[in-house]
Amino acid sequence: MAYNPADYEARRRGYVSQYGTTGAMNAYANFLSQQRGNRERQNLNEQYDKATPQLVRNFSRRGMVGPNVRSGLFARGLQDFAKQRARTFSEFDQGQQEQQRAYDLSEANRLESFKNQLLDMESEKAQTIANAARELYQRRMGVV
Amino acid sequence: MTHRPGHGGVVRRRDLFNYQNDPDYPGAPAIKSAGAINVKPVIKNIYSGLTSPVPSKPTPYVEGESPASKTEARYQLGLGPNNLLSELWYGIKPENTQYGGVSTKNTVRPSQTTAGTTGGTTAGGLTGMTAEEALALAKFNYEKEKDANKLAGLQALQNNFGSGFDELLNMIAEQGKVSEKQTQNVYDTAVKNIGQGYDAARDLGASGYAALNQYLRENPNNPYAGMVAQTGTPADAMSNFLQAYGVSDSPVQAQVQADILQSGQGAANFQNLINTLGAIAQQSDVSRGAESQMAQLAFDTGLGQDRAGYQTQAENAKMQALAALQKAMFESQFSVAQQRNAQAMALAQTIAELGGTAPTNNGGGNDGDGKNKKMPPATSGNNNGFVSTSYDVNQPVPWSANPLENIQLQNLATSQSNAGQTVDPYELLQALNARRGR
Repeated sequence: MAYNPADYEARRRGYVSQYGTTGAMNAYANFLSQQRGNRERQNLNEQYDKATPQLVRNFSRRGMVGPNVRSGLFARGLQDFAKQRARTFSEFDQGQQEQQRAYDLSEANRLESFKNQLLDMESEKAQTIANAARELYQRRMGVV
Repeated sequence: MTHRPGHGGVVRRRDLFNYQNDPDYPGAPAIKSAGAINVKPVIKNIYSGLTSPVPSKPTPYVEGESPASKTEARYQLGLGPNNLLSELWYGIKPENTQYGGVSTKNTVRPSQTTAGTTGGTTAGGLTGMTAEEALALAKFNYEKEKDANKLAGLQALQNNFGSGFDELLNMIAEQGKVSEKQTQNVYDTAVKNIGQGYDAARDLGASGYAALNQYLRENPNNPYAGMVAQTGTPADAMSNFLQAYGVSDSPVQAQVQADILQSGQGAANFQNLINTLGAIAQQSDVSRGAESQMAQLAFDTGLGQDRAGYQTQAENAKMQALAALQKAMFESQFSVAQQRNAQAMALAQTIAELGGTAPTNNGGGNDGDGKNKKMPPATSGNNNGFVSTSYDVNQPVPWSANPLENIQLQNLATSQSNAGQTVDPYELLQALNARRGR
């Protein structure tokens, strides 16, 4: 097997190009995902901001809340609302976070694979050089 | 040759000079001059009926100077071919005569010079020989001298031809040294290349792992470090609103606290998660560092094994090359030695066929001590300095068991003696018989 440095340089450029292109696409997808998450979170926040006054008016219309009036149902209703709001945002944030971790892990794996490609190529190149050296030696000795 | 029956192997004197029975002397002419000694012819063979290992004395003719009388005259002069026969036949001690007999070294016989090849026919005189015999004798002398020259040339070659093989062997040895040195140089270069290649490969691989380790140090992979789980903001308990209406907010506060607690628990769980992921990422980083070190160790080990393997291959190649070189050298040396031995054997055989003596080594080449040895010329064991072929002129006439051959041999010996020739009568007889197709 003859050693040709140009072959390895072409392969290396192909690996780098493929890694860069895929990385850019993934990064852009990740950016869009984050943007979408931010918008969804903002919508959730707006929805809860609008729902809070309505909840108080509903209890007030039924006479469960007012001046010098503090019913247990009203207190329980506010606590449940606050807990639901906290859980909704917590779950949403965790979902976004896991999505980001998946992206990061995918990129790390992709980088590891890319580096392995280059290392494999370098190992192959060294072996090719060694084989070429032995072949040249054999040619010089008239064996080949 | 035909054997005459009835003689029982005994050669009688009458038969010895019976020219009627000798095909080489049909109607032998009378000898005109027999030297200064006048020999009385003997008619009867007084030794007939006797048996003895000594050949019978030639019986001279009655008329004039016959070949027999001439033979006796030459014995009187000390020119007889056999000192013992001279003493037995004629009571003459040749060493006391003019020419001193056969064993005398100081006497120079005119026809024993090289002129005997052609000029001996007139100088010594071929009286008593037919034209055919004279021609055969001349040809025989010519062949003899040619053989002698050929023998001398071959012996000279035998003394020197080994140097060429020695030079070949030295060339093979020198080439072997050069090839061995080249093999060693190739091996050294290979080992040097192996070491240099190892260093270069090791540095290159180490630089790669060094860059990886630096990157690991500068880029720890733990994106979960520093992450903190945040808790959410507590929700509004509407305490002021409730107090304005005189209502207690205690139940709402309890609700809010419960939500806060729940949010905190979620954050803690998330923190635990990112802490766990961070620890895992940290362990991954440590594991990567160990992996890098292990990979570098494996690389260094593998590279070292490669180097050891290449060095082993180089050593094996060197050993194989040296073994092949040794084999090639051995085969070359063996081939040269084989050729050398084959040529030496062929040369020795040729020399032996010409009557010479082959040396014990390969003709002056290296025989172990690295020095060339010159061989003395072969003389067939005689001490007259004459390079002989297959006979010695000082040897007695070889007698045959065939009476007819004995007659022929004796007559030829007489003629040779008269002519002053030193040709072996037995060989001359064989040559004559060969010419006659016998």
